[in-house]
Amino acid sequence: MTLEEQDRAIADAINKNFGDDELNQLILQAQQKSKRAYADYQKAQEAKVAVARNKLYDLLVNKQNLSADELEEEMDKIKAENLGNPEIDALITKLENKISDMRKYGSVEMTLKGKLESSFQSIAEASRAGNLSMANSLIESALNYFAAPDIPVLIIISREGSTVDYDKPTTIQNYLNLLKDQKESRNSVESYQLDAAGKIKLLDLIKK
Amino acid sequence: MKRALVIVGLVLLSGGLFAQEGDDISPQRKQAIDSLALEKVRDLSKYISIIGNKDTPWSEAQRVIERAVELFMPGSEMGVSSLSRPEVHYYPIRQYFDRLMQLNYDRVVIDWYKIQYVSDLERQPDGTYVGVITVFQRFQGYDKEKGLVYEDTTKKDITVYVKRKETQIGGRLIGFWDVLLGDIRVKETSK
Repeated sequence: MTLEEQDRAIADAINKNFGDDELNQLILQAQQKSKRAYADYQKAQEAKVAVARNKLYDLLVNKQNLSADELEEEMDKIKAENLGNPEIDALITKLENKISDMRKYGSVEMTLKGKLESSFQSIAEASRAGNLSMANSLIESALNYFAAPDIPVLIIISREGSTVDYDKPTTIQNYLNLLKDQKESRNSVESYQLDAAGKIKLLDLIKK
Repeated sequence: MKRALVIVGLVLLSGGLFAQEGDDISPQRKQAIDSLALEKVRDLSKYISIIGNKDTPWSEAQRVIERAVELFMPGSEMGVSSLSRPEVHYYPIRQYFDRLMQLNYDRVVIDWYKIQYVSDLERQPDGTYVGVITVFQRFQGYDKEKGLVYEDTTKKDITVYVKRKETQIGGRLIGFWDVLLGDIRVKETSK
């Protein structure tokens, strides 16, 4: 029997007014037992809410740097508990918005980052295959992502705390030619800045 | 008392400044710089191979020469040896690349290998790190009809200079390591 069913059974027994002392004593004991059970249930719910609240705050600041999918997975576990708590519901809504934003922003980010890295790789591969004209044409095509051929490219060689060490700054034109000359793409895209026209105006790379 | 505190403060401050100037960098950062310098030498080896390759279009070779020259300290020289003469000739870097492009073979294959430090990068009083990297160069010259007509292997030592510099880019202060190659000396040449 659930707590509600037990309560209903006790209420029925009281309403029937049996007028039996021994029975009344048993009803009283059942009432006290039910109250204790309610208190325990309440306590357990509060503990669950506290755990869920802490977890949701952690997820909102994304302490573990989880992906949108991983955040959603964790959020779904909390949703499945059906805590029915307004504070928890509000936090879940906030987290849903965050996940949605991450997906919106992340997908754009991944597309451009992915396109750049794939483009760099293709230039190196074309050159390695001895196809110089293909490498040159890929360079021309890659330059379309950038505001100008002389936009700066910074390559991070080491990062230790707040100290970041770079290679000598170069330009995107020179960097693309370097890929062709060296026949390998040694760096990943770390970040970039776009201008008002959506073209890259500063590119940060990092050693793979 | 106040004066003593000021003196202590100044001493601590000067100690801090001195420590900053003379600081040894961490092993992790040092390793990154070591790798960067080796990478520049490997870059040079590819440039030399492209410049020497008879299939490289002239304009492309000229562009690569410019990039290769940028790797060197101004005034650096490259040693050139031959099995047919005992002496080593030293050429200014740009002249060496021009000559390399015009070598009198139908096909030239140049390959650098065993690129490694023989003398680790050491910090100099002016903050520049200086080291020596050794390379082995396999040179092969081909004639259209006779095939391989000349080949040798040369061990060369390259002095490397690395200095931390700063520049402002996009409103950011960037600390970068400027790697420059110095003279390339011939150590031995064999068949």
